[in-house]
Amino acid sequence: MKIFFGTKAPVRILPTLGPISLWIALFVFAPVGVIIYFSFLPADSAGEISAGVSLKNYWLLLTGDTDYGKAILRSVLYAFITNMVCLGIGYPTAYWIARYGGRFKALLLFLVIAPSWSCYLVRIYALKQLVGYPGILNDFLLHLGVISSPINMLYTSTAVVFGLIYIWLPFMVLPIYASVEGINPALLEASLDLGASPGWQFWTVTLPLSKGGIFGGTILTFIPALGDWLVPLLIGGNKVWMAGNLIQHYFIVRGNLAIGSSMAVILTAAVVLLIYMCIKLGGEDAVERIV
Amino acid sequence: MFTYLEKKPMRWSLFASGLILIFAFVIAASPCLAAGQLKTYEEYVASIPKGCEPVPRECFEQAVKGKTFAMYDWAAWWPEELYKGFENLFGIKIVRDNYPDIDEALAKFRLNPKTPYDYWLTNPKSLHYMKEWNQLEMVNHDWIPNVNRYLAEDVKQASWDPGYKYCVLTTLGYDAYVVNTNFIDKKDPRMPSWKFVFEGGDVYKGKLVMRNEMNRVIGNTLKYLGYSLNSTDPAELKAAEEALLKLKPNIMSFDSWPKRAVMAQEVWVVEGVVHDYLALGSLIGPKNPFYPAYPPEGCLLSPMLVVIPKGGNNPAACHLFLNYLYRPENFATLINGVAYGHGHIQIEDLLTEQAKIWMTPPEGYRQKCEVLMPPAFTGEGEKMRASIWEKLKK
Amino acid sequence: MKSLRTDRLLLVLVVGGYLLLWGPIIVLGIFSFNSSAFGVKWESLTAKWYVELFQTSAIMDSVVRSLLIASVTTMVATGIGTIAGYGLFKYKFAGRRFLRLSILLPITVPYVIMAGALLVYFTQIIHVPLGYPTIIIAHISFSAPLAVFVTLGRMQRIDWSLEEASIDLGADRLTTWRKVTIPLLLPAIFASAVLIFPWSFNDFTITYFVAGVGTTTLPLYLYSMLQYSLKPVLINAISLIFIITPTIGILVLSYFQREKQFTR
Repeated sequence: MKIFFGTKAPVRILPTLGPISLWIALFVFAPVGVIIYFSFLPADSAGEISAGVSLKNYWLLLTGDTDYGKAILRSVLYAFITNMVCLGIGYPTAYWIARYGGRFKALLLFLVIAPSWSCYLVRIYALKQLVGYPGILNDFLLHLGVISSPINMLYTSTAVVFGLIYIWLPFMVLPIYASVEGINPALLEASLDLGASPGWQFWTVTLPLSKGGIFGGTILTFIPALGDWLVPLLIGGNKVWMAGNLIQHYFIVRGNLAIGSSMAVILTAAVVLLIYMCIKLGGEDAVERIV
Repeated sequence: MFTYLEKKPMRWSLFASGLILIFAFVIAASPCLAAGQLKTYEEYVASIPKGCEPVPRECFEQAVKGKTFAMYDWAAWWPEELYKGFENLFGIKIVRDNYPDIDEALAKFRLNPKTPYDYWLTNPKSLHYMKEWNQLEMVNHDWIPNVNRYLAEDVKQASWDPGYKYCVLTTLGYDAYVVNTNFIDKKDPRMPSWKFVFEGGDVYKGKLVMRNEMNRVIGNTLKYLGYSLNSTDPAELKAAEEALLKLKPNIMSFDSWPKRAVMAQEVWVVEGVVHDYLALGSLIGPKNPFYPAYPPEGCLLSPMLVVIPKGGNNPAACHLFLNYLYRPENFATLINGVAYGHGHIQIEDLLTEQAKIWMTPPEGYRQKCEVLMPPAFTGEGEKMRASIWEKLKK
Repeated sequence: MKSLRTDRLLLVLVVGGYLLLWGPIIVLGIFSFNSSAFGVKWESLTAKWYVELFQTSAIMDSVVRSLLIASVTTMVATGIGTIAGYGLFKYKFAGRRFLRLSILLPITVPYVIMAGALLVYFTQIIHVPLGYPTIIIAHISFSAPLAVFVTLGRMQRIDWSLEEASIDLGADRLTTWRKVTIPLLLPAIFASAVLIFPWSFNDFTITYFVAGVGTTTLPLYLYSMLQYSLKPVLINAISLIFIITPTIGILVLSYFQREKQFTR
């Protein structure tokens, strides 16, 4: 049977892997290729594209008068904070579910997954309603007498970062849970038998073995947070822009495809670099844990 | 159920394709379900109220045959009964899409020429560009007798489109600002000047919303500084840039139609068309909290125009709708609902007192206001404004 | 010694995590039963917004559009994705690793980039008018990879000797596929469908970029309601639907797939 699969394999690969390869080539690689091409086309400020090749768009984005480097750096910073806080909350949560969940494991996991499956906009609105100015949290605090007048919590940079953490947290918990859960209990027992304290055991056995989950989770939170544009728009009041807003602005509002493309290409490059680093550091396991 | 599925996987896919077919059927059938009251042209002509005229037979028949009518306009603005009334009368299903601001809608037409909308409610800037890109149908004057009859003569020759060849004016708004008097004292000495918006940050504490359209915001800033809002003078624009950057910490958000936030009283000062907020304020409670400020420096005058993009499937329905809209009783419904200025000469008696108050600026105010003209949104003017806008947002 | 203090800290973080995830949603759900249209002050208990939801034709129209898009996407993406997962698991060939990483690409790159790229591609290169086809194509590109990886995960736990036995007993390839392989893969197909359907139904960014005329889906409509609605409480009511749909999906999934194995 092995031989059967071996010799006839090429014939069978086509019908199974053909459709997805074609699809990915046509609707993922081709569009990415097209934006790379567009990013080198010269365009005037109104977005009229002319023939030729130039690096003007990149030049404009990184060093130009409008100083977009800042927006990119800001996105990286926000995404980094988001990632770290999500790790800080997500790791203990995942660890706790895997270790102490017992028969409630499924329920506890479900409670993490359900929000991540529900509509992104609904969750942003939920957050807005809770912490908004005439908001439920404000009313509650006023009622308790903790504060004397309502406080402004929305429309600031802090609110944007908080929103990002809120939105992307579940995607950190799941991969970490999967890798902690996958650790062979025999290893843990062995380390205890060898006289390790629980704390020592965590640092020397559990943490290194769940590395894949951590980097998988990083891919799933850092990258979407880096490209997020709805949180700055709806929670940040459309005035603290991140890289995603610039892309949306150039593609959708200005219709300037060349500059929008160059922005997207820069961001894609950053993302690919990040994925590469995560795979290098976390091993193939990081990829396994993503899905 | 699942074990059943494991045994008979084919049944499952049959069931799923059945579902799809049902959805497809619902979608396809939905226009047919909306049968109109008027079946034939004769019935239509007989139903025309006094003082109005019917569209020609050709227009009516084409429009009804088209079954659907694709509209592109602001969300939740005009009274719903206008659309409902049209659908019920003619049995033409209105498919409405909404845009968050007009610049974004314009970019959509630019990227995707011949987007099949039959009707687009827009501004003079879009009119200019769409004409330049050759993406507009001309208005067929034979098909809109009510508009010819009731549109004021000076509007017919308006600067943005003399002879109303490509557009029909619907409403005319003053883009100034309103304050919520529950939180802000309207006797503030800086009011109603733009000074209150640009220098009164200590009073409204960051509760300011500005429109998310660069030409309007920068235009009104130029007005505050005492310049023309169509200025292309680099020094004047530099001054506007500085004023806006100074104002930025006091801005809560940029939003072109912050209806929910205004109604929830999340916002205290709104830069936008004042009539909108006066009409909205009456829904908050018995006491309308909004006070309109018409700055003596002047402000932007904002005409909303209906244009007919090329590529639409049912341009006849657009003419039919315009003709229907310009019937005095329908136009009065619109103006009573939105309380905007307008160019209809026959609805004065049909307007409510309230709407008249809301829509009318102080005596002689119109002379201080300006409409956006090409220098502001083309060439160097556009370039400088875009650069200010991006600096403001980054 | 350490355990008491660290355990307590751990518990605080876990409870904090769950509160953060669920607090806003629960409050939103509760306030959907509030009679005030601006849901920040509690007035009285009512279910009228749910009734109104079903009577608002614009909302129902958008629900139908979303369902249509999600059903087509689910069927095509599950089909393509499942057979690809099968092939990727069964056959070893040069470029397999590359293909795997390429399939991963659309789900790891931020949506806004891929959506922008697709917009340029559709409007400037292949000139497809924006509308249902573009939305569905875009959704399939993003969701077929999910099905691939769900299938891959499932296949590692399948006993493949059954397939070989079937061929040994003289069944041809096609019969084996129909009678053995597909039934073995059904749980994976089902899991993919349950995963993809809500994904497609809920997607905002991609639909927003490539939507055309008359294709305002429920999330797009919701977006306009967030800004303009005079009854924002209706959003609370809709949101409950958004929370309940995936919940039912997950419950059904975990019930039928006895192993409690979840994937994103």
